[in-house]
Amino acid sequence: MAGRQAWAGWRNGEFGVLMAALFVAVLALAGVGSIAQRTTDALAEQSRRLVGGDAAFTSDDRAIDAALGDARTLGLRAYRSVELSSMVGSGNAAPQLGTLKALADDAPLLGAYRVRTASGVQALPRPAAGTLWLSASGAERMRTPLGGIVEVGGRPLRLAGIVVEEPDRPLNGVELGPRVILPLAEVEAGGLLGPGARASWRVAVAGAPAAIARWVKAREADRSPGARVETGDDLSPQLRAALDRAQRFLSVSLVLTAALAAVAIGMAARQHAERHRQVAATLRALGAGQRAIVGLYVGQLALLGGIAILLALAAAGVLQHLAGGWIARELGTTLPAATAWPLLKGALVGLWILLTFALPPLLALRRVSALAVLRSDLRTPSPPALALFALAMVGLLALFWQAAGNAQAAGILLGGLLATTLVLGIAGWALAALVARAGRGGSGIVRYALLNLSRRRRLTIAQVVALGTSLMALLLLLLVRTDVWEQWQATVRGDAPNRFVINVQPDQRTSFDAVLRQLSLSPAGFSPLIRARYIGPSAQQRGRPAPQGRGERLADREFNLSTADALPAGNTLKAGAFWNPRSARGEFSVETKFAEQLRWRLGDTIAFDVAGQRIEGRITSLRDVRWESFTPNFFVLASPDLARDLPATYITAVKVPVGDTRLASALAQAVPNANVIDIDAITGEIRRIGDQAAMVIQVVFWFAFLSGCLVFVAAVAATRRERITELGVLRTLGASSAQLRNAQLVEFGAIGAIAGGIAAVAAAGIGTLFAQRVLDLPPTWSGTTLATGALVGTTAAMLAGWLSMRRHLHATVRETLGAAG
Amino acid sequence: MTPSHSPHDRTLDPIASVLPGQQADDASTPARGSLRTRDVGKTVPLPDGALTILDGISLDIAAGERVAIVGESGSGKTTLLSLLAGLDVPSHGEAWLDGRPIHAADEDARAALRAQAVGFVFQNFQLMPAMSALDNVALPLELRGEAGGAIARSLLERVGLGQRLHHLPRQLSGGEQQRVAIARAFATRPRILFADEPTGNLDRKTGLAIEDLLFGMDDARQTTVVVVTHDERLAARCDRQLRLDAGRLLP
Repeated sequence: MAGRQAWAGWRNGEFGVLMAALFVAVLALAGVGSIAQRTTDALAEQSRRLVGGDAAFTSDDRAIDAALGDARTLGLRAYRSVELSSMVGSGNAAPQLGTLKALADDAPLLGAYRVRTASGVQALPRPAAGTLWLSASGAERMRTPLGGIVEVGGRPLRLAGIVVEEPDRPLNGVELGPRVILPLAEVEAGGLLGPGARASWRVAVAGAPAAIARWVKAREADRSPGARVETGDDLSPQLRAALDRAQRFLSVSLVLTAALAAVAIGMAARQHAERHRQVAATLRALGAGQRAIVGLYVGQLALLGGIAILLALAAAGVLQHLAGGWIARELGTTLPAATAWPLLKGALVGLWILLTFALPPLLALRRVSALAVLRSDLRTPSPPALALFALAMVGLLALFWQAAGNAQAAGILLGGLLATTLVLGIAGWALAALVARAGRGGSGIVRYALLNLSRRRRLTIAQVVALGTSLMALLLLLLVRTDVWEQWQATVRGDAPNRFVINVQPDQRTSFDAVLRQLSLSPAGFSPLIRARYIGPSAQQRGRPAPQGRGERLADREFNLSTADALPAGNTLKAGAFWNPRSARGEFSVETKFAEQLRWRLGDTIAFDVAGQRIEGRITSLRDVRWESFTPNFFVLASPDLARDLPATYITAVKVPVGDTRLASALAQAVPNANVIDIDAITGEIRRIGDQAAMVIQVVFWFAFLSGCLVFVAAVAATRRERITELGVLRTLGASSAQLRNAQLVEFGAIGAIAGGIAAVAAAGIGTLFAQRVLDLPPTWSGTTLATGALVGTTAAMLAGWLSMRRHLHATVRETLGAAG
Repeated sequence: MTPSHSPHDRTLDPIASVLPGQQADDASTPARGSLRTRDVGKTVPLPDGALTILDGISLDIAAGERVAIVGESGSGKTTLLSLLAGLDVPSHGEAWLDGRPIHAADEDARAALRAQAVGFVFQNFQLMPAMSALDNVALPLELRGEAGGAIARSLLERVGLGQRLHHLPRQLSGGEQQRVAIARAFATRPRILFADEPTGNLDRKTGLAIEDLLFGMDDARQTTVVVVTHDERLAARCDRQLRLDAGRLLP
């Protein structure tokens, strides 16, 4: 019987909203969630490419032989290279110090080099014997065309290609002069790797995660000179921030989509239960017990819900295949294979939504009295509201926590949602009360429409809450998405610097400024860079667990300290107080995440060795840094009194046109020891990440929008039958189409205005908190945005109401009353 | 039953006017408060073919007359009432309501005519569930932009519900709801009143009281009354009866 009833109900359109909302929620989580997961996995995969493998080990001596041996023993694939500095010259350019990267005969692990040769752009593993490749800027410096001769270490080699894409080009390293890629055999034949050569050997490995972990652990114990381990975690902070932000936003968007769908399903289920009150009463009068009633309605829900979930999972599979392929083609990348987890998660969340939002109103039908057959005034028993509410909130909290990654973010979202719901409920009640008072004096259809709000008080409140909540969620996503997108745009496409200049001596400042003036360039700050080595944990730190993994590696590196008189732009104080430059004595300011990795805390005393001189001070502030600003920023700042007499060079950042080499050329003349670091590669990668994430964010946003629309539909449908009947009666009494249309517009317009106004304010508030605390972005919304949001809400509600009744506005009374059932 | 004459102008012989196929003097304009149809029919499409509910209905009802439309279930009574009241459009034929043609008028024009001249009482009352008795009765006046409170109060007192003004329909019995519906129907002083099985959902005693009320509200016989009923007693209280059988008027 449940199956027959379900089929009959489906044909009558009773379950349309419920199944559509469930379908959208599961499809979003399973399908879009899977694509989002695969895209972020692909982005992580790209970070591996930047490392050159799953992990890499660099050392100043041949300790890599042991690393290579271990790799082979563990069954890992390995790839060797060595970097060193040497003089590079050509017939057209004076010799200059360049960076050489010599490749062994092993194939690259992750992707070949893309090189522009005489035959066009090709994917090649390494240069051929007797040849070399140059970076684009290197070729510019050498002023040598393809096929020309470049001398490396006095050895002439033919320029066979200009590197377009270098799969394992280090992002954090410093590049001196032209960058040359050549066979290891050429370097060895040129005697450049003799005793005393300052070369950095590198081996990258790829393979099973467990083997990688063992190999990395063994390398971390290596204390040979220059030993350093790199994994994907060592990405530049900019890339890390971009990846983290994209992932969190996508996850939260998907959860909001599911939450909106849950609201729509809950409303649809309540309406269905209300419509079936009489049916349940009749069944009870005919002798059906509570168990039979439960079996009937739960059976229908299980059947139709199961079908919706299965259809959504199937659609998710198709969507993954089609959309994943499209994204991969558009962005020239490959996505990792899909896993089952998003599908499982989508199905589980779908079931949870059914259990917490759809099932309770239907279960309440078992308590409908048989007397309701005769007494229509008997109210439908309500499900236990508090228990259900608690269950729903626990589930939502868990989802938000998992999506946002931390309790604070989950708290902001769920707390914001609850607070908004409460305010909307109060506003709905106030609206109904207000029009009840104000409407008494008026007359006509407008009065009738407004008084309807107070007559159907509970429904008015429910509609204000439903419309307001869905609008708030959509506005929130729109505002935050705009923030995320605009920040990316401003950072990587706008005026973000793309050249770092280092090694400028204090007495070269005038010459440096003259070069910038000549080229009409403006530096983003001019900061001292002090090379320092961290002197072990202090007494207060010894009791704590030692830094592990990346933290341990960071502790062993040379630090780049700097100083500042005030909190630098792009930095946000998180704890403590930034010093007064006139009165500061022995203080340090540390980047928050950096401090966490090194197990440093506010108040700790830390010490550094700067060219044999010990400096010591207390950590008096912790700050967050917006790395995507691409202005010089430092993990550790020392107070001016500490840095005053320390040996330092200067660093700045400048924005030049992409591919421009005039700055490097001019500085080579005026400030020859200055080095220009081209970070277009980093910004290029972030741009790619932004493009990829933006695509998925767009798709996720439209799913959320669809969910929001279903909430609108459910909210409007809550009173649809009643409205149709009323419309028929009003028609009988002589109301014109215009009067009926205006009544709908006034009623829904009032609901939409209240809901839209509150939703806009709530979205701005929650969006601000979320952008600042979770995504580390300053909010960029304005009053215009809020006003637009409120207007959109009003218009959307009016449109929804009009659309739902449009067909009946011109129908005959008979048709209308027939449609009401 | 010999039809009685209305005190209003009569333009047609009432007996001749109900003979199938009989054409009236079409050159004359129907009077206000009267009803006329010529060869009206209603067919509805169904999945397995069209269903003819009414066919070839030609009738005249003079202003002030009280006419009962009777017949067995499924004979088309309610459909005929709907067509006469402009609640539905005929598939073919012509109809006049209150002296004005409605067969080709759009829904707004028919609604405007109803607002001016028609009152309606439904079998299932069709009160607005969220509105009080007072607001329900005042509603037709509000739709015309008039303040209806005083008139509504007066009408409700007249139908014996002066103490129940602010009660919602669900707080009223079936008979009380029908009283409210009758009060609402008379709120605009209609020239024509249509009632579809007004006592169909009520017990005998309550039904009698409603009948008395229905006819008693128009002591001066200024309202044309058309009532669909299967209650022979109610039909007998009317001036004449139009009997339908399988969608056709019997002579």
